Amino acid sequence: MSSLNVFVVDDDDIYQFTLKVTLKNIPSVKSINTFSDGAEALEHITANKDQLDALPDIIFLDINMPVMDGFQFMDEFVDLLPGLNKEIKVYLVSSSIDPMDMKRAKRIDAISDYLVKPLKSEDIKDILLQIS
Amino acid sequence: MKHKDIEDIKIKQILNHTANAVQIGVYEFDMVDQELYWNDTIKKIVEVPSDFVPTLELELSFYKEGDCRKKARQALKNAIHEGEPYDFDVEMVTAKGNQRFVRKIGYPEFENGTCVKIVGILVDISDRKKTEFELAKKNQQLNNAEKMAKIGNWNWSTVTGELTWSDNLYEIYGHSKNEPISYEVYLNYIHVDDRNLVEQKILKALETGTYDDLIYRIQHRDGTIKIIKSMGIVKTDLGKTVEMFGTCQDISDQVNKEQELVKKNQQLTFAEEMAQIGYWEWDIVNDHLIWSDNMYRIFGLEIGSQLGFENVVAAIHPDDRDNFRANAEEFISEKRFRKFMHRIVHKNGTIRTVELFGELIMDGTGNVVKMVGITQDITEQRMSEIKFRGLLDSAPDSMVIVDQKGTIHLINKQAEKMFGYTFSELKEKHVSMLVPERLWDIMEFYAIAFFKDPKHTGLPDNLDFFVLNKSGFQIPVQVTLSPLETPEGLLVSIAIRDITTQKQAAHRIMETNKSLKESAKRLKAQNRQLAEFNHITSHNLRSPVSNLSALLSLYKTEDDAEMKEELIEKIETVTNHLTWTLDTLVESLMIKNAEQIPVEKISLEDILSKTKEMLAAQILKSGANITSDFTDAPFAMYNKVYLESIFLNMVSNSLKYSSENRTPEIFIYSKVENGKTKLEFRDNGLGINLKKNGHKLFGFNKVFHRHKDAKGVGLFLTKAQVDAMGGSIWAESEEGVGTSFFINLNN
Repeated sequence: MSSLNVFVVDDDDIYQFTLKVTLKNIPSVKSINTFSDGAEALEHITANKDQLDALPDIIFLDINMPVMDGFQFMDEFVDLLPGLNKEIKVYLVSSSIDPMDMKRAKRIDAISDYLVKPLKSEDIKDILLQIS
Repeated sequence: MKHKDIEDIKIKQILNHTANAVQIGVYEFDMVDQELYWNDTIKKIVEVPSDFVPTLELELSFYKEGDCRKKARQALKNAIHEGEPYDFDVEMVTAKGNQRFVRKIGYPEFENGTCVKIVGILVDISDRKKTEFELAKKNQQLNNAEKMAKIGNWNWSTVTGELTWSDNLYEIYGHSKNEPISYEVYLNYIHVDDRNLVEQKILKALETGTYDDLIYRIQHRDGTIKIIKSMGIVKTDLGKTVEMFGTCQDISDQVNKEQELVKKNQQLTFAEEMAQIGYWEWDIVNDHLIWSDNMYRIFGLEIGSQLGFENVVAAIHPDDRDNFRANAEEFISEKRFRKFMHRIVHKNGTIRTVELFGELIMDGTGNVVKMVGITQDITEQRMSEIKFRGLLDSAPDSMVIVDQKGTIHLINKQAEKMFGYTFSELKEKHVSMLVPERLWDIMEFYAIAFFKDPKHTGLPDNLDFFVLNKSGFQIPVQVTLSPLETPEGLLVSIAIRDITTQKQAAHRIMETNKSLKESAKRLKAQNRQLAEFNHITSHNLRSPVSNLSALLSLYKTEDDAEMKEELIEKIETVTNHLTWTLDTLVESLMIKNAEQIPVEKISLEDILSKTKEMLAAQILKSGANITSDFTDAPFAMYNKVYLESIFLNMVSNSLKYSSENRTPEIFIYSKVENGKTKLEFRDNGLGINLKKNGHKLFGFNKVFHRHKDAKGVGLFLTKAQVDAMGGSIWAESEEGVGTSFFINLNN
């Protein structure tokens, strides 16, 4: 049953492409939205905060992005969260294996997990399975 | 005239004549006529002319005012009213103001119970009075003399037993003049122990007629004991003693003084022995020596033995004999004594060390005839001195002992070595001789502080104190001051430690430390670079690689040929991106690790022109207005390639991120600030939120705008170049207003 709205926030075109291909093959995914930076994603969420269908169930968030990176996005998203009538899981996704980034991600409660690129399709399937 | 009257007159004339001849004044006062007659003598006595007419009141006025005049008036009154004759001595003041002593005698004559006449005489007794005064004075003087000499005289009639004492004798014996005096009373005063002796002596004098001098003690009633010397003469008549007279003298003081002298002498002898001092006197002319007892003891010779110079030499240690002789000769020829030491060898082989102090005595012609002085046995003292010296010399540090004035008293062997002076060169010299002049104030400061509160004091470690040796070389030292109590007063013992090696070690440590710090700094920089590089590889290399891996896994499972073609294209793009990333990283590493970057004098105007040429298309397209001011610093010493790159990156960034709402304005200027050349690139472009992005402004692949050409490499490389040249770069920016980049070309 297709029920999940998935947001992919990443400036990397190739990554977006590969993730989209992977997600399309997962039945529980209802829709996929891609954004090139945090600011774009935030704009979308703010604009659709009352439309539950337009809000994501899960966000795959990159760290390194221009304009607004993953952490900057989280700063504002956490403020926004109480006003949203929906449970939203955020997965931080990065090619960085920098322990500093991992530590920083751990300190943010709203982040469910830290995933290192490249993402395996099995892993994504598992994550989505847990939610639905 | 009646015969009797004639006779009376005659007698009076004779009397008058006689009176004048013997200088007797005659007067007669007729109470009836109130007339007073004076003969010439009286007029002479009171020094009035012969035609002077006296009256009773005038006469009274010649008596000395006060008691004398009162006495004369009263006598006159008594004579007139009571008929009493008078005879008294009185003082007069003559008409010429001279003082006279007179005797006045008068008889009143009465007729029918009334006084009619007073006759009498007035005699000048001034000379007699004077004699009397003199005598009284002499007596007084004698008494005084007796008193002073504590001597009194006595006279004893052995026939009647009558004994008379002079006033002072009463004083000496403490006997009241009002109480009777007799031989028995006298005997009672004599000290019981001496009474027998005195009685026998006096009996002997009575029998033989010779009075031997006698010394005995007497005792006052209050217990005071006095020593009396009695001398006397015996007077005989027809072989029989009739009278004895003589003196008694109180000689207590002399006796006590003598006894004290004896005592003092004993004490002196004792002191001599205690101080181990002997007194000597050498009669050079006769080669005769006088020694005190203790002098013999010091030399271990029999007390009182006759000595000459050679006897003394014989007692002296053989090694010291020549010096002893030479000294004696020198003192005589130089006429000056100088203290010196020598050793003595006693008969039993004991060796003593003595020191001699003395002076020379010369005759009228200046020849030395005598030498006198003292010799002190300083063996023990010398031993402790030797011990002290040994201790001093065994100290590891240089020791210099000085007094409060800074005069050097003693130095040890180490000090001789350190300073290059011998002790004799430094003895009595001022300690400042061993200190460089620039440190004299410091030395004085610590000396004053020390003597204010003398205790063991180390001069501060960081004082940087130096001493000066003989060859003018300055040695770094650590100084410690300690008080040294001596009979000569408080001295300060200065311990000086050469800290040259410590200093050198400290210097080496400091140098090492410095280079370590530099290494640490370099390591830190390298670490930072490594961390940066690590960050870059983890982000910027991993992401294309992970993309490749993702694409490849898709490619494997994909069956659709079209899709496969698309995936291959994507793989190509990623591969190109990866190549570019690697190239950029390699370039930045080359910049950072460049050892020698050539620099030259570059005209900033030229660089800007070249930049404008390279960016001509973009400038034209954007219509940007580029201005500059390089008047303050027209040139820079820099690497030309780097500077061109910096200008290109800065200007192209300003063009790339210009605002669409306004014509781009780019202003570049240079100035010299604190000796450093500073560049500013100011634009009115989009601006960057530095609060959010400041920390990654110069990071690799960091982009802050959604610009198709934003790669995040320009500022990364610019910073690498600026850093490599030892400069710094930072920015100020406001979103929607513009950005300024500042570059300190070198520090």
